[in-house]
Amino acid sequence: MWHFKINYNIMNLKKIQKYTIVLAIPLLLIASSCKDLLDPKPLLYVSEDNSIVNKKSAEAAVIGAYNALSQNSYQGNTFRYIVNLASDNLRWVGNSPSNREFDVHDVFATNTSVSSLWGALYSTINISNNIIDKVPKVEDQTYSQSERNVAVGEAHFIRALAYFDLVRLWANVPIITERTRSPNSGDGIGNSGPIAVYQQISDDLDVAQSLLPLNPSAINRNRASIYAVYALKARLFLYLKNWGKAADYADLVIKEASKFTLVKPYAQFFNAKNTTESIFEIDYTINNKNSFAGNWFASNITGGTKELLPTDDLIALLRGPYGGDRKALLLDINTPPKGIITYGNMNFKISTGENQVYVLRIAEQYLIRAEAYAELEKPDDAVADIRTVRLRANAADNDLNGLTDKEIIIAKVLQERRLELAYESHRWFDLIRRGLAEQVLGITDPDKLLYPIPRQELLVDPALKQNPGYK
Amino acid sequence: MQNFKKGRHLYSAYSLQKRLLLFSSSIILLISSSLISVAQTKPLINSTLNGIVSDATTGETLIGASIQIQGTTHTASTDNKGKFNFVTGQKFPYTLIVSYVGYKTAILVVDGSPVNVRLEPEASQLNDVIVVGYGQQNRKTLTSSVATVSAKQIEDIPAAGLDQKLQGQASGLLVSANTSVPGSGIFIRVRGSSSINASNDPLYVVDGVFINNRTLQSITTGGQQTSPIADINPGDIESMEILKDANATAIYGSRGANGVVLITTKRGKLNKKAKVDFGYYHGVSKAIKFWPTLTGEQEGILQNETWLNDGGAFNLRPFRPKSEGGLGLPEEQVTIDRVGLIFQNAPTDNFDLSVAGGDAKTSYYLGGNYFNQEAIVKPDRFRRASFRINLGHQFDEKIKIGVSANLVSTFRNMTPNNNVPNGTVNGALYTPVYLPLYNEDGSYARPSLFENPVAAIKETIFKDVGSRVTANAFGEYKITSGLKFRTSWSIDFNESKAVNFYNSKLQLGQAPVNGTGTTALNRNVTLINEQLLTYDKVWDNIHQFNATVGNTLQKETFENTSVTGVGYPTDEFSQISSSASQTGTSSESQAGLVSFFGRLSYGYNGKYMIDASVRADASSRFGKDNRWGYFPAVGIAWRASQEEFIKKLNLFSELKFNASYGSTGNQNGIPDFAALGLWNGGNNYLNTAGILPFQLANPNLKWETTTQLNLGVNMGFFADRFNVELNYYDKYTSNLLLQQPISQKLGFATIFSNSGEISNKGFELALNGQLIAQKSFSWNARINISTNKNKIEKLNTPILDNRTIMQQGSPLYSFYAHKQLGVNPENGDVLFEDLNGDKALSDADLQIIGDAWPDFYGGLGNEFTYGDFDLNVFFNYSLGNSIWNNTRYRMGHGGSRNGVFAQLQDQLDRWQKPGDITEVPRLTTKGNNASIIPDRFLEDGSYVRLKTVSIGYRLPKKILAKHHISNVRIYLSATNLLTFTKYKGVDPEVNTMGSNQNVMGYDQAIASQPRTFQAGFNVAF
Repeated sequence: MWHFKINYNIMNLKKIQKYTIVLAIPLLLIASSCKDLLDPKPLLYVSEDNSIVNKKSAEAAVIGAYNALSQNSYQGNTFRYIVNLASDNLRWVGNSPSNREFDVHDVFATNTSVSSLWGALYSTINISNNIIDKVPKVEDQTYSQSERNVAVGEAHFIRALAYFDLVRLWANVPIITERTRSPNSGDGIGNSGPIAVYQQISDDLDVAQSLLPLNPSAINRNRASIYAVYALKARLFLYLKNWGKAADYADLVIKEASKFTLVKPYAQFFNAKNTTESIFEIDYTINNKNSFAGNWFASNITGGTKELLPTDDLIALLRGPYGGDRKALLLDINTPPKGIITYGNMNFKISTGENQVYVLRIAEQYLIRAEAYAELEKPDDAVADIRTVRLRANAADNDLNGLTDKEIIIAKVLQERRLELAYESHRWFDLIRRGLAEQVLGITDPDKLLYPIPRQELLVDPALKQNPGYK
Repeated sequence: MQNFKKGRHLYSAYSLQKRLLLFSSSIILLISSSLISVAQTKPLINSTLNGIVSDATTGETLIGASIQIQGTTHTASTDNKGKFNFVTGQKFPYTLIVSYVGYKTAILVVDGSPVNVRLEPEASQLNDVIVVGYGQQNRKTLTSSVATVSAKQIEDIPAAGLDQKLQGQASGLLVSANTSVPGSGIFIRVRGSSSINASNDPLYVVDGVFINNRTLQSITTGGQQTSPIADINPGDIESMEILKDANATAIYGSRGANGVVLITTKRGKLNKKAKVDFGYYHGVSKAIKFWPTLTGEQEGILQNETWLNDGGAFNLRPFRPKSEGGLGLPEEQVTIDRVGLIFQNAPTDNFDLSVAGGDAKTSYYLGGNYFNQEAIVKPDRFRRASFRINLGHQFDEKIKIGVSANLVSTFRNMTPNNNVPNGTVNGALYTPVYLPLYNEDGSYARPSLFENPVAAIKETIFKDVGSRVTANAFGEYKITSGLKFRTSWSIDFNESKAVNFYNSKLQLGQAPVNGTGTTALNRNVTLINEQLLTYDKVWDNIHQFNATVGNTLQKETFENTSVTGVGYPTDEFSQISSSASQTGTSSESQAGLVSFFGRLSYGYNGKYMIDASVRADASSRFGKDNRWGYFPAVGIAWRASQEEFIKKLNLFSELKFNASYGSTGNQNGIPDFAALGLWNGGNNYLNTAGILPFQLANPNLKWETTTQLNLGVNMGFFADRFNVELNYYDKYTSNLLLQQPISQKLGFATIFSNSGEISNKGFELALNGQLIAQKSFSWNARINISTNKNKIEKLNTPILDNRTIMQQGSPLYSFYAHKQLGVNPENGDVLFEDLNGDKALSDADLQIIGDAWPDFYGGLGNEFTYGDFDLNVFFNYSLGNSIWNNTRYRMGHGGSRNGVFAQLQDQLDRWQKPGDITEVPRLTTKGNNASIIPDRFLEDGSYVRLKTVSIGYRLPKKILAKHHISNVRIYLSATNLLTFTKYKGVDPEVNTMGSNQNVMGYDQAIASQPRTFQAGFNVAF
């Protein structure tokens, strides 16, 4: 038996060596594949160093900047409903206590919408900073200087727009103009006051104006053009009470009558896309939707959440003589068992999420110029501009006849802005810049006219200070 | 040697390969040298030995027992008659070691042939050989903390996944079902939670193969996730070991920090004739409790009251006569029970069929399972069909090969069931009861925010089909006596195809969408290769030595493809190819892990034991400089009961003290490329592709490390009839993998970093006793009590997450709100605590109001047998934990909820007139009563639950023998029969935020756990 066993072992010796080889070969194979195992390629991403390296990637980054601008936590939704709720045009009938805070003008520093808007604004600024920094350095001979100018000009415009919304909502905000390289990039950069922020916006718009083509052959209303720069400058100078410049820049746009006109009927500008009404319109597609419209209607209509309703005040005005065709902003729906409810509407397409956002449109330029003319003691010119906007909406204009009193004209402009731009996020800022917010909205604490810096930001960033009145 | 030379060429290329090569060449050298030694042995015959091995109590012969002559490598095993014989060079007398699984090893001196060896069966679990990482150890000489759960303990619990079955079964293991949906995720923690952004789930290892427990669900149902652990058929499980302390888990290195669940599946035994087992049970489940909502009339009264409280005119109150334009008077309102429409008596069916056995060389186990469980909330269900094959073949004395394969097909019918407005429960529970279910034209009504629950059930198509193959092949080569080499190759292939379609009758699909559907295919493939070299040696019968070294290579690939189609011609079309517009996405990601590990154990005379282990891991997820992590551990044990002075006490049958200390790591759950600075695509505008910065680089990113101290004592009394195991642990996790919030002014909200520290400390006590052990009647009881004190020791900035906060000095799962001191009896306003005393309420007055951690948790099991009857009574409990009852908050905060949410009966206790003492404030939609979230919705979630009761009967063997049946057991059992709790929600065992690991004990519109009655039988041939 033993002999047999041993023979067996010897006989198997070669076989066993074979096994050894069989076992060892895979080990060697593994050894050579080890590097692959530990260095997989991130297929879904590119590295920071490979981000903007040629014309194609630079242009993709500019598209990315528009995407950042259009995201739901900024223009796509949050910014618009926060600002509309804060005004007297909309009221909150939903259930979230945090959204009610905007309606009752008592916003907490832990409010998640405030914090996501803050984050969205700065991510928009960061992509702009990246484009401004990297595009001029790109080594690509096919990428012409004029093409680079357009990209950088658009980035400056987008950055200006983001800072404009920041300064309007918070007033005191950090100014970041360098792209973020590491978590320490912004160390020590604290809040700047509104004067410095407005200066930054003005500088950005000057650069954009110098880089964007002066007489574009065709206008893409979904991208920043020289006219968008003029229009935003007009608005900027209106806020800065530089009436002359406000009127001049509005004029620069209005006189391009072949490019920008008040469309008729009123509802046409939102029933169709990219009408001549628009100077800069953020557009959405089924692949890149927004969720704004979902807040308006009840679920039995189109799956909405019915959280925003126009105030009774606004309903009465829109249905009154000065509303005219602008009553198209209201929609009566029988909502059993509660009966007829009046909803706000701008051809909302909840389910497809393809509603456009109007950042700059020609009607606002008329009203900017009207307000500036009134301040510049040119009552006839001011009234003429108001009348132009009124008549487009087929609204009564007899109240405007013979007006000369500056204050009355300005009040007419403000009411006109309230109706004409009802859901376009202007009313809250109009009331604040005109010093009317406390009186009109019944706000007792003037600190509440600014929003709190999100609490989480103060916790992570020792350089930041909270706005007055917030803890 | 040829191979070695070939290797030299690669040697210079990469340092990692260098290590591997050294390793592989040393193995080859070892093998070659051992071969030489084998070849040099010369044969001599000095004696022939014959004998028989049998059970000492029954006298039955034992097949496959192993017989070894001490000091030699020569072994033989008994044949199918229990006989053995061998020829040896040894001269009589010599010492024989006879061993057999389940019996005490006999050591006897023989001085002639034949011998008759009678083996004593092992008396209690303390004698068991248990499975540990990369090996087996004897429980008596264990230096680490390992809990064992046997298949029998959990066989009557009708749960789809083994993780749920573990609830209350082992100390230190906190298990809680998130929902009543079968096959969905379970909250499971071994000795607390030690991570915020990396995984807290234990590592699952089935027969030595890592099982991926990453959910493949990509279409959301609103919080809950499908559980990959439900892919394992509990019927295939022989036993489970839960490795808890660092000494047990450090051998798993970077994956061991959250504990390890080792699962051993059933295998056939050599020389055992085929045994066929068949089991079936049928169960029916229903909800334990429903929500007490207001009637239509009560809603009307309360809403009118709110209206008037808010200064509304009486003649415009919402519930005024219809003739006046109102909704009708309160007493005219109907009460529609939507909740009743979505629940059902849900059936469960389970079939298990297996065959196990073996001849002299090959052993096999074939097991099939079909499990079908419907949820108590329609129309969710989980179906699993699985097949397992475990084969082992002994080529000769040296070489053994084997294969295990598990093939599983799962099917889930799902609905958005949790916290989404289009969910079934939301629609049924939140829609105020006086509102209609159908419109006048017969279409589904959606009078509030929420989906019509009937539509959600009838019209939604939402299914998930999973296919999984887990297979492993291994070869084992016994180089010399005690020295073994093993190589193992595994694949875990897991694929899920989910299809979901909302037609035009549903909220999400109604015009102008006209139907929306998504089909998603997710695939997770893990390839693992392992080599293991073990050496076991016993000198002079007192020095026990074991050494283990090995390596692991792992590659994981995750792929996702998803297509969405919107706009279908009619509701009859549901395939995406029929849709008007389609969008799709596809992505792929990979990660790799390279590991080396080793362990040394030494035991002296079964009295003093010491273990040391180390593992080195390199992960592709970290930067080059931080790729390698080293995880050492050491454990010691002293069996005082082997000392004479303890023996003299005559008190202990077992007394062991053990201590261990070591470190483990964690890298699971973080993204594959968390360390890199990246931009991503898909940030489009007007259908043009755009790119954006995605994350900031952190080249310093590395492992999260947990060190753990464990102190334990094991006591046995009265010949181990009573056992006590007490453990204390102190876990400290540092370099927490954290999505650290950074100043958003940088354009990024977070960066993955190693910051923060968390500690978990606790006691675990397990008591086992055979209280009565007579032939006809026995009573075994086991109880376990565990505590865990969790604390975030260091966190740079607090992190707010809904109602929870993570901040330094407080535990994870802390709830954060304004404290309600009461309701002002004068005006009915909530009195909030003004923490900073500034007479105003602000964020500065927010505080931690409690946490979801229990003070004590565990289980209590009793097993009675009386003749052929057996009775099992099992309780589990959780004491001292808090639950945020967001269902009650949503249905009882902010006055009348604007008629959008139904309200609960609690609201009837509202303040109505000066002098009322209540905690429910005056109904109003204005002011702090409506806007500030008070802590009155935080509740004590303590409970004691009679988890299972089962009664079984074994048919008498005499009757069965005639029909060639070896065993028949029939049984009845009930699950979740009784729950003792003060919690006001439907079930204290709840967690809505199943997909957010940093939230526990959050209740929002989740149905209770099912109460199940089942009947079943097991037959063995």
